[in-house]
Amino acid sequence: MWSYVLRRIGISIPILLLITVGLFGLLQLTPGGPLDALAPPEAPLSPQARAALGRALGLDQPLPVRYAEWLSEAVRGNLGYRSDNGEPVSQAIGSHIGPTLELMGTGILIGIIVGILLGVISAVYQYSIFDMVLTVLAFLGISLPAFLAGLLGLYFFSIQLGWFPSGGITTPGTAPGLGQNLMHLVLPALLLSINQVAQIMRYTRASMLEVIEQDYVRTARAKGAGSGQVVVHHALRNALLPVITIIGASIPNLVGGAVFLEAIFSWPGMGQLFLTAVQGRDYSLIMGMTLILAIVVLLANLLTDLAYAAADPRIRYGT
Amino acid sequence: MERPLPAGLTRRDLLRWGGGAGAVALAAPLLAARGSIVADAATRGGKSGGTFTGAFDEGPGGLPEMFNVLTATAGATFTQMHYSPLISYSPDFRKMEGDLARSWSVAGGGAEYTFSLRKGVTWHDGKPFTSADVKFTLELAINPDSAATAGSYLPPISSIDTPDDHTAVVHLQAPNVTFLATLTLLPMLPEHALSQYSATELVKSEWWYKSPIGTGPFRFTSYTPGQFSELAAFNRYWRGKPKIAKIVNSYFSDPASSVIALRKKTVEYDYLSLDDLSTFQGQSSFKILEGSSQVTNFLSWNFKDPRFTHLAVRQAFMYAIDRKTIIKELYKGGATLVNGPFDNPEYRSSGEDAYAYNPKKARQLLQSANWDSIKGAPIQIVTYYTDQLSASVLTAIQQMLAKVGITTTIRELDSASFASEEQAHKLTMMFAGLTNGPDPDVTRQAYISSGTDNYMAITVPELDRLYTKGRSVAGTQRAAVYQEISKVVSEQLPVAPMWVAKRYGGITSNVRNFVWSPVSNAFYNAGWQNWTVG
Repeated sequence: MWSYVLRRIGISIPILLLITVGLFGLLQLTPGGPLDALAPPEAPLSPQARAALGRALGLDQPLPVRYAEWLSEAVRGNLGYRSDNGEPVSQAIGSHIGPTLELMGTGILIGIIVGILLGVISAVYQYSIFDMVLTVLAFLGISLPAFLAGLLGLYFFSIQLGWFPSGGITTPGTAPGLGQNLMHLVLPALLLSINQVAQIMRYTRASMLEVIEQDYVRTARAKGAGSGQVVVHHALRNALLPVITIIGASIPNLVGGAVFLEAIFSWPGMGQLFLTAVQGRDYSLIMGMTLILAIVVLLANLLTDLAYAAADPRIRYGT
Repeated sequence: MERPLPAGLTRRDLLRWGGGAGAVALAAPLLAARGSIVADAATRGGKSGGTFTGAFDEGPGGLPEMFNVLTATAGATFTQMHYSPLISYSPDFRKMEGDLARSWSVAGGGAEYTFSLRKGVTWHDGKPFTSADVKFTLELAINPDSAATAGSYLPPISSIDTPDDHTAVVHLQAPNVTFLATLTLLPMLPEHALSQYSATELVKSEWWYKSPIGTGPFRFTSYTPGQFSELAAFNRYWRGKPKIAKIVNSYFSDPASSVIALRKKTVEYDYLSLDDLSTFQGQSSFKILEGSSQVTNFLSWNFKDPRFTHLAVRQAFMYAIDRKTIIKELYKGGATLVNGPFDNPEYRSSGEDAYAYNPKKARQLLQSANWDSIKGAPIQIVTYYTDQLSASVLTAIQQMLAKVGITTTIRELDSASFASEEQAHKLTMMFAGLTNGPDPDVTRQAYISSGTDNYMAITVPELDRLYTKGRSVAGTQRAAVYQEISKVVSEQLPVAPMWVAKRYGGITSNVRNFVWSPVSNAFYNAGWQNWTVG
């Protein structure tokens, strides 16, 4: 298996390179640059000051030189500096990736647990009222974009009911604490998980219904295994394979949802940082964050494939 | 110089702000504001201590998470809690007063400035503030490698003498009365802490957000990226120890979030757009602040386009647009009509042409310029204002112009794209804004023919002459020069002046003695030491 993992990582390197080249090229085509965003149309920067700022940001070099410099620094762990406040990009990503992982991790965890649980129940009690209600709710959940869920959730649960804080990862100016962090996390994580719960539930239900009809499940029942044992030990494990695929494939979507929710809830994560980077035409920050995101997606795909092997003994990755 | 929004949104936030212009009733008891500064009406007093949390970098005046005060183009609301200039404005922006400079004298017809520095002032690390810091700051600001914003305003300096620790003498290459006003844009920086860096290194130095020290009322204590930065009361502040113990500047990725935070009282101050006001009106637990943005909104023409070289055509634009109705119906009265670059009455001229709405006259003027044969393709008006209010305003203008036979299209760009096209001189017409104060000279670069902010090929020799004269005379003579500039602009129409909009802020009623200004480029005395919360 390790040789398979190494091979996959080896294939990922040229993919990452292509992504950075493509992105670097696209950024140059974007109207406006870091200096335009830093010093907007009316900015009182003299041409000399503008040139000095450009030099400090390395924007005075030809494009191939700039890319080569960025790449040579990036492989050594230096992703450059933010154009707005000079903070090292790796430091900025380091301080924002934790909150994003916390939000996304919680969201996906809720999605997996609740989605699989409801999917199994829905399949076991097919065509019951419970199943039908869940089906309707699942379609609503799938159809509900993250930004709308975020706005509605903020309005009802934070503004109207006052159950949760309206934003941030902690209350500004207070000492950070786990309890306070959880209070700020609950609402955006729940809202982020809505789509996940709905999708995973639907796939689990469909997959379970297919598996439940298989001979080996009937055999298990015939042998006198309890219904719970049949569902959990015989049906669910086999039904999980397509669900695992969905979970892996949904991570990029989850990132997209997190961007909206981070903006709505002022969650100091990568999404918020990405918006700042795009608005500020911060080339280094955009490049650095995209590189990290690409690595995460490639790793997620690899982990998904590895999870297949864990879930299905028939799948083996050899040399 | 700054060119913010008609109803007030940050250029950085233009993409993020939304919300309908909707019906906004402004009949609520706004804390009235004449001029550009509003202090809350609460009585003096209040207990010491406590934390004042605000979204101080929201809105047009803010630059969230940008700490380099040399390269910053705005953000004075928060910055001036930490740093101090030699000279700052009074809260009403009517006069300049000494800050770190106790007094000053001018000699050589405005070419030599002697500053007597306040004694006993210390930096936040306890080291004394001296004339060496003044020399260091000015030399850093005029060094092009520092990319200092003030550097583009400062007149050429020939030398800076420091005869003793509390005296600094600045010799200009030529007399220039704007020097003092420029100093209100430049906070003093500590030589002992920064001399180890080159000017280039300072542009992206971590010092600005890790260990900055100033001489202001609050000292920097921490910065949590993406969340907030904190200041603590500086006990040795020269005006007296601030009553508030801690200031928290809270960052928001979406302006609507900061408004919600104010509503939930998670923050005690936030910038408000016109659309937000209805949320807070009539609530005793909030106070709404308002003041002039000191930003003149205008339409401007590219003079390389022969259609706009006809004065009659430009005048027709002015007569075709019913500015009074736009201010009344769309701005709900929250804007002042102007016919020149300035809204400060001191610099307005009684000789300005008022251009009252007169579509019939507009049509006659167009006819006299043979408009039908020269009008060509529809004129594209480009703007970086992407909020709903501005969209409504531009739609109204488009319809009014169409009525007299001027066909236009509207194109909205984000500010970076706009800047890129503007600086490439690609725009035919634009709807934008230009900071007109506190000192009127800030408009110079946009109006003189060789100006670095003149992107529309404006060439009015009379303005070149007057703006030069404005730098060499003082007092009432100087005011007369800018009144003359107002008159020339209204007659020659190098741009089509529209209005100066108000900006708004909201505070919770537990904050007292708070002094606020929507003007974000110049430092003013906000009386921080008197603020209380609780």
